[in-house]
Amino acid sequence: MTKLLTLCAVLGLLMTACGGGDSDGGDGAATEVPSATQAAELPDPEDADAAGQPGSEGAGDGPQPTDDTAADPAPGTSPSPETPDDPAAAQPETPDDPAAARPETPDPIFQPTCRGEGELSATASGVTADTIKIGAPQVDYEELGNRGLAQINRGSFEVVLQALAEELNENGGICGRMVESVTFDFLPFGTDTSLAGCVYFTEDENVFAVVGDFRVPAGNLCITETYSTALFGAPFTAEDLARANAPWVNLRIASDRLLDVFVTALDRGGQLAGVGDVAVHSDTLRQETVDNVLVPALEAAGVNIVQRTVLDVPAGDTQAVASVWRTFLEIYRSAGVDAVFLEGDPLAIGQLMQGGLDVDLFTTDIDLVSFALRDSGDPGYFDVYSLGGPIVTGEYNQRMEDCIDVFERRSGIEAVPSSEVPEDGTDWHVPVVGICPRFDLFVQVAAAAGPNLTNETLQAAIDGFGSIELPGETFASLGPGKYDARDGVVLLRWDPEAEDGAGGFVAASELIDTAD
Amino acid sequence: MPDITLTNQIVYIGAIDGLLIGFLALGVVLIYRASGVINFAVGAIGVLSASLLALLVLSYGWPFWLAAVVSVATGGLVAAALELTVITRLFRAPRVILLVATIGIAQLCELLQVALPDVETTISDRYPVALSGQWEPFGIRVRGAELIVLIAVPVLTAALTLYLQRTAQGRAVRAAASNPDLARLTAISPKTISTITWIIAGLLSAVALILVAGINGQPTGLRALGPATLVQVLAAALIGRLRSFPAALASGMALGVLRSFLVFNWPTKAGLYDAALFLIVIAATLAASRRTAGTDESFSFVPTTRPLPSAAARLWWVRHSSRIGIGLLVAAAAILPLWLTQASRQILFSEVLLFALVGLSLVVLSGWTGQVSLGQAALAGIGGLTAAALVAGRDIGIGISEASFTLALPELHFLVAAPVAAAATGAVAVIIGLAALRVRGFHLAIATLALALLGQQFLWRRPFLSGGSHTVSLPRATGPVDLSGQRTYYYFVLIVLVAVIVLLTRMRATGVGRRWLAVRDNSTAASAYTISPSRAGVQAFAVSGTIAGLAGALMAGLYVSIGLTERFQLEDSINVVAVAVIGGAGTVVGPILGALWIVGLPAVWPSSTLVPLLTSSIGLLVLLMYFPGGFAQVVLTGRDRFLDWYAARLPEPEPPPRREVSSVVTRTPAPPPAGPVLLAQEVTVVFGGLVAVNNASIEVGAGEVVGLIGTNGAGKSTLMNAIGGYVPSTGRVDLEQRPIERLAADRRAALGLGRAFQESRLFPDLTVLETLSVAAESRHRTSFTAAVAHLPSGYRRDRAQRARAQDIADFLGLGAYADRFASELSTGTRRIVELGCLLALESRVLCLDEPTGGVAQREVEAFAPLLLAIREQLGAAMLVIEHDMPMIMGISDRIYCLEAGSVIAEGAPEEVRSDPSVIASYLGTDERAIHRSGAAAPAGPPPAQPPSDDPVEEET
Repeated sequence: MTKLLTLCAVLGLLMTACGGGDSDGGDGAATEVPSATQAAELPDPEDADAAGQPGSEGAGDGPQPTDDTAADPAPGTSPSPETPDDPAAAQPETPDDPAAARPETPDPIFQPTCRGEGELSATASGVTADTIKIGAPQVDYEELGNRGLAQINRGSFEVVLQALAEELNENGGICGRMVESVTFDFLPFGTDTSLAGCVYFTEDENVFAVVGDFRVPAGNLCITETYSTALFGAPFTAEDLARANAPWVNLRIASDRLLDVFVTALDRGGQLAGVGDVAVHSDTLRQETVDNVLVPALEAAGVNIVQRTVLDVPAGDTQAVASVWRTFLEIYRSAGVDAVFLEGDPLAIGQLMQGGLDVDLFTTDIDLVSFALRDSGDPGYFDVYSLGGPIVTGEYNQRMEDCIDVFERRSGIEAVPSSEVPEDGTDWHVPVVGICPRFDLFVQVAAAAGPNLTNETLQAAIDGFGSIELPGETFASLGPGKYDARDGVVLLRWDPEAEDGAGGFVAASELIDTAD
Repeated sequence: MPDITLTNQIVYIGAIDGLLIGFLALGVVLIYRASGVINFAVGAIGVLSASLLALLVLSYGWPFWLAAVVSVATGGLVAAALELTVITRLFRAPRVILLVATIGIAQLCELLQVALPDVETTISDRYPVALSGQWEPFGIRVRGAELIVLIAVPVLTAALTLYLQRTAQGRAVRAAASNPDLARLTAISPKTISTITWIIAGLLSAVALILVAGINGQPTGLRALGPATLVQVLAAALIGRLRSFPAALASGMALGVLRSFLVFNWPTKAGLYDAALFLIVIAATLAASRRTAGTDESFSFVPTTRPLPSAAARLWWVRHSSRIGIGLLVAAAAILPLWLTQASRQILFSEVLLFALVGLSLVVLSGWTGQVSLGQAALAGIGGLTAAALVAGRDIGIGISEASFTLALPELHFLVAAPVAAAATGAVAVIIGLAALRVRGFHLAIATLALALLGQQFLWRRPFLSGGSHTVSLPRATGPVDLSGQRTYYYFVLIVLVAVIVLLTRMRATGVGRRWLAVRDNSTAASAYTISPSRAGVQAFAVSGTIAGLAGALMAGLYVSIGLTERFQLEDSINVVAVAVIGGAGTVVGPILGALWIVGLPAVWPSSTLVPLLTSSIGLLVLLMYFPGGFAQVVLTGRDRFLDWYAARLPEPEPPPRREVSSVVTRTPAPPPAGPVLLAQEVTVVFGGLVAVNNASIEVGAGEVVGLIGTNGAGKSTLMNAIGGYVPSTGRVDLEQRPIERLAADRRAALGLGRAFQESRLFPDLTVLETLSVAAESRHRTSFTAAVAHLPSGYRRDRAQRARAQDIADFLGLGAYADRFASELSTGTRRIVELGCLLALESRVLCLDEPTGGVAQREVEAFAPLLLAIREQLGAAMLVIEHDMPMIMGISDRIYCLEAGSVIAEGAPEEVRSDPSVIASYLGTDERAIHRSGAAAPAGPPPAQPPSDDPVEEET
């Protein structure tokens, strides 16, 4: 039984491995672009937002100060420095519009400009006069293979991180401090190994920050809440931010903000016009977010919600899931549902197909859709709309290309696209594009925090950052209360004919800058 | 209040799902009826077959029916192979060990299923079914796969019912569960029956999962039954009373319709159906408790142990070898964090200790009281989340809607919150214990499994426990006591674990522990010795729940961030059972060894490819097959062998001088009452449609010896059981002019009604001295509070009990057997011990059921004087059932003869002996039969003559 549940728990991971995954990328037009699924050769499968992980719920309820320094900053202003040496004093004021503060020429990758001056000293756990220690969790694919759960051969985060850190350190490090990295192998289900990893980073290695994602909220909260350690690149909710005792930044849009953005994009794109009677479905993990964000947003957009359903059965119990879904389908039929908004519940699309319900489908979780519909051989069953990052354009921005170059140059390993990796070869592309934006995010923010590197100065730097150039992100920004960096999204439509008939997402809108 | 709707389509959807649930329940009922085993692999075998069918049809292009036959047959073959390799080997093992073995079997089947080649299919492919299409009769949409279910399930159920009712093999299967020896009379060995039933169950499982897959439609991603479905299946079997196939099927259908109804009307109320299911299971359990009152179905985990060799037993270190062993383990645990200093490892070691602590809670409940709980992780969860709520000072909403109010709790320090949460969990456990007062074994296992499901699906989502979050925090470092460091916390947990071990070891050694073991081994005999099985069970639940709650609170403190979808889940409860069984749940050291194996090995060697095999499926099965008593059995066997070797090198000690004890009765003789001391008037006992005792009336005067004779099946024992309160009856029973017919058996015993049983099983895992001490509880009851709190009064009581037990043993000449287990004694010696228990009880009326049964003929003659000597000691009256005519005629003042449940004769021995109806119905006319045991016993009581030190030989 344990194995069964474990199998289901890694479903998200498997889906990513099967070609799903959200997309990162550069600017691009909505036309003549590869499908998002095709672009999955490029994405960041290590991102916990993939595959409907619980942690993909996001923060959308505004700023959640996590320490005294960052508490309640006035909008549009950066926190006041407490000491003359505080590098935050050297930071520019946060403009009202973060996008307006975007530097025209960002620092070259891994050559950050230290903001502020001061004497280097041991200012925080994991920070000495000479070094900054960071931790990076990585999925233990070998163990997954040993357990017969997934056969995935991917390159080591540790090697990637070493290569990037080497480049950074040769360029002077962060304000003169060299970056040291440690990694911890964990399993992306249950919480035992993530708990051990959290303790390893915070107690055994005393890292200053963690760059990565433990995939389960408890593991990430262990870092930020229990051990007051900064976390870069893990999803959060508004509640998580409220509980965190250290800075917490993610690349992707927090899921609750994403839901709002999704409805707005659909509304602007005209997809909600004539959508008919709508059912909103979620699992229990997303129930509250959906009730608090999606449902009001849809109602505000004039959508007629006729049914709300919640799956409360563990996904591992496929028989129980199917049983409950047969009743849900009858609910939808009897209510004459024309469209379903779907959040969470990885088996939902399969159940809708089995039930033969002809509805429009709307979801922010493109991985689930890709997993369920790709190679379905049944084109056009649903009209599916989703929302993705700029990777849907199929091209990386220059900063990502630079990062990949750094890795290849430093390690001597070629990070060819995943689709070109031989069957028995090691995929280095995925870990590289996974680490690059997170590491770059940390480097830029830490440099902005200045020589006096603490959680407080880090938070101040985040709050005062404004626009930020990141690998794979066309538009991104940080600011007070905005700790999910991505701003650029594209409305997506499932095209069953894409990718030679295998099916895939194509852009249904221009790249939208949500900061506008 | 929303509109409540129930459409035909919803009923139909629920009925189809329910039919499948009920069909799976048939397999559970079948295995249970044949071997008393809860089969957790009920779905796993079928998953293999269902996957095979998809593979054969979709990937290899086989015709459907050929593939279906091969797939279903594979289910039968796999079941047969598993039965012959695993179940047969564990045939005599406690049923709970077989339960854990079926978990291993399920895991093994999943491995086999994963090893099958992938089905080459696209997602638009459907699972192969015999009939496709869709129709709408009466406005209900019916698919082909559903139509097959509608036809196949009732037909197969009827066929199975007919097979069991109409065939000799089927009757043997039915008989096997209740009486394997009787089943053997059908010329079919119970093992063969077991194999046959497993094959049938395998076929059923294969068909059921193929039908399930057909309904679900998806050809890939087939999995064994998840916890929610498994609990439904078990609940359907339980509601079907674990006996009736049609009832199980109907129950499954009802549950399916209920689920559809609840989901249809309240589609956003998470956990609503699971809460309803829990209530239904509890109701079914309560109903079962009324039907199965006094059942002796129980589990015993105690590893086979032998008394210490007498030559070695005088050595201090030998007598305390168990404590030394535990001490060495604790010392190793204390040194460990000094050697492995990484906090990330120490947190895993703490988890091992905490799993051992939860395992200890199961030792109390299962190991010592014989009750199986599959919901210990839920109790731990209640403890953990309650502690978190108390630390956070969360509010509790009490009441419903407008009548509700909020109770604001103060924020407590973790060190205060943990014991409070443990006590609260103990209270919850008591409620569960009260609900399952007279139910043991399978019923309780399902009820607690439903509790585990209730926890993860419903309770953990309540605002008081969750705080409205999916991840609960419990900061343990607040306040003056800093437990934040992993090593500090590890030592804190270790101290708590040692304290609990010391507490439990002490409790086990007191009357409280002996009472638990007595109830576990033989609840009927325990009642005869004034012990209330219900009270003992509730006490065990309280202790077990408190320990589990404490462990949960400490786990929450360890995790700090508690993911409610990852912690305290149903599979954790199963893991706890595995920890206890693999370690050896009868001993306090067992869970430590089990936790080291199940939790510790993967923690120490996380990357090993061998460890997962050892700690699950194959490793679990191999371990159970060769060491069903768990690692504790391995350790004890090793110790015994070493001590045998060592003792052989020591001089044999001088036997202790024999103590002469002339009197063992302490009570002040009371003047005999005017009327009969025992009066049974118009007593009637009915079993189903069978009248076992029909308006029988007897009476026993003060100091009188009254015989009860009659043919086998005449109702003698049943009448005696009715008098003692061991079977439900009507009529009046007075003891010393006090009506007792409404009292429970233990209360009747406490008033002076002594009872010795025909089978004289006593308590197999208690020594002679402990058995006598159990009986002595009636005079020197050990207080539960005193035992738990280590109060001096508890020690005083314990010493008094032991002294009295020793006196009685010496009085009866049992001194040499004082430390022998009852299971090691001959029948005759057990009967003497049983008589000793009556002395300890100081009963006023002795009801003896064939006191010489199973005793060698030449020893029977020694029994009559002994019985009379005991009667003399106690000044008691006696009611004796006996087939040895010279003896019963010799010792009785009066005799009753029963036939077909009614008294047909009464009077002095000679009168009854010459009564024509007695002669016709029982004695016959053959004088040799009447005199077959030689000379009649003397009429008067001889001086007490303890038997020789040799055990009385059994009649062969």
